[in-house]
Amino acid sequence: MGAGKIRGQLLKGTTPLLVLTVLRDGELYGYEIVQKVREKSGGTFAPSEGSLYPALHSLEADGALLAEWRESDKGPRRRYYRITPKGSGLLAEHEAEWAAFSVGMARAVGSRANG
Amino acid sequence: MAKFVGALLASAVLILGTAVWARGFALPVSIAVLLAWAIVGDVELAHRDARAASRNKAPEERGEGPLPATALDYLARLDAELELPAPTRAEIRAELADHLSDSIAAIQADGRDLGFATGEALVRLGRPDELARRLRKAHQTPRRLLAGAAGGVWSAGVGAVQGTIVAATVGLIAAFTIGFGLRPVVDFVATHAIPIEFDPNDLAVGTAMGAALAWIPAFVAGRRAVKACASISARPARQVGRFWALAGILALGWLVVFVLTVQQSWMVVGFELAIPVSFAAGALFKVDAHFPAVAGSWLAVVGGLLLIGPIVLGSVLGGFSVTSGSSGFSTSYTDDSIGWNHVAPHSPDQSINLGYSGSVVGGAPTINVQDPASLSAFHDLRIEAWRANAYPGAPSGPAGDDLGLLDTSYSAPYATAPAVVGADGTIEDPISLIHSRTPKWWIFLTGVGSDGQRYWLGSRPFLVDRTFSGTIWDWVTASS
Repeated sequence: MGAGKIRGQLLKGTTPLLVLTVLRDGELYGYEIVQKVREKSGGTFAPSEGSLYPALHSLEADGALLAEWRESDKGPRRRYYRITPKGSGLLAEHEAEWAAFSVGMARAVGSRANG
Repeated sequence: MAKFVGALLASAVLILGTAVWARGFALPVSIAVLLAWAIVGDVELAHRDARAASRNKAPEERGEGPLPATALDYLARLDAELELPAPTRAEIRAELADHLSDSIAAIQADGRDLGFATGEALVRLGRPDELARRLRKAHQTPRRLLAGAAGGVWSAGVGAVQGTIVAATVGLIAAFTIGFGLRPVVDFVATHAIPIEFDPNDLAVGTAMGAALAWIPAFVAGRRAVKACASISARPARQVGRFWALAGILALGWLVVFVLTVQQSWMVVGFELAIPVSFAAGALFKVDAHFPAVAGSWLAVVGGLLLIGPIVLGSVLGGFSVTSGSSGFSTSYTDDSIGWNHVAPHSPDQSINLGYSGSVVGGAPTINVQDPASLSAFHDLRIEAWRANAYPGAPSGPAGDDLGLLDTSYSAPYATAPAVVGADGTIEDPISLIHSRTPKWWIFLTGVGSDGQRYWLGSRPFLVDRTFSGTIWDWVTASS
């Protein structure tokens, strides 16, 4: 399995966390979300564009996001997403889960590397 | 706003009219509550429609540059696979068109040509069928389905109220049109072309017309239920329409067959059964289109079938009185011509004075004998109930205007009962006619004379006109 595929597998399931994280700082439209994640990860990764919109629409259906069509600063009308209080709560849960997962993963991978 | 004002005006007129008619408050208040409910639901739906319309614009409509053909083809294939309501599909398409525009522009900015940039942008989005599947899953959640079902029930109620207002208006217009304008035409046709007797004052005809008017609220209710359910549950209207049609047929079918009690005839049965059919038609036919499109050919075809079907059923099974003018009947009647002698010969002593009182349906009818001693020459007295038919063009005379022709196709009475003369000269008639569909009856008092022959007594038997009030099930399971 190549490095790209490993990264893709690792990213699966993290799209909602990444989306909610970048939207915590302010409202964005779909393409901006991809750019923002890429920027925040230092260009290491970005959510798959094919899974971004299903995740956005799913979060919207769950009430974690609100979407609104309006004029953008740079051009035509865009569909902007912003996080709701329910989304903030969901983000806190995701972050706690991710923290526990990453610590455990670091231990597991680290112990094997050391052992 | 126009819908709101229209609903408000209609409500005011209806409430005022009802208050004047009922001279009370209970009914107007009930109607006001129903209409307030309808208005709130209507305004809510109108707002939702407006919101959907505002976000449905395609990229071209929004003044954006056209996308390359391959990108438009991708969006078309995605759209075909989405199976979501049209406003949602349009919204997704617009959002992804924006995304592709941005993505293509960004790749071109890195020095790539348009063809490469478009291909790369599409690869990043993935296969259109897979993206459509994921988006469908994101929208069509079980929670939305439940909310859609509830919203559909609500909207069906709103639609029923609105349809009732429309039906009442149509009914009033129809009554005035037929009563003042078309009545001579209807009479001419009934006399010279179609052998049916149409009397809008007849309760059965009025009931049938009421049932026919119920098609309008049923149609509107079905249509609004599907539209609301599809919109809320994010499913295509044609998909949820099938379930609503089935549910409507079952629920309204059960209501009209087993619950709704009206004056029945085969014609009324046909019109009543068309109510659930009308609901299903509203839920199924061109439900994606706006109303003017539905009001076109399909509505005409369905409406025509709904109208013709019950009339044919009523004509075949006897809902309408079949007339043949006055040519088949004498302008005067005799015991023979009316069929009374089919029962038995008239007694030689025709001065026996009998009367009849009470209700055959609900009360305790009695035959009253003015001079009980006049019956002493007869024994084995009994009451006999014989079926009768309508007597079109019945002559006026001692028998009055409500004659019926005894149905001589029967060789025996429907029922008989021993006649016991009380001390006060009354004979209780215990024969129940409520389990038969026959509307006209001749009730005879008969007795055996000293010559051993059975005679019918009195100057004439008694005609009973009864209405069959019950459900369709009562009507179908009753004897003829």
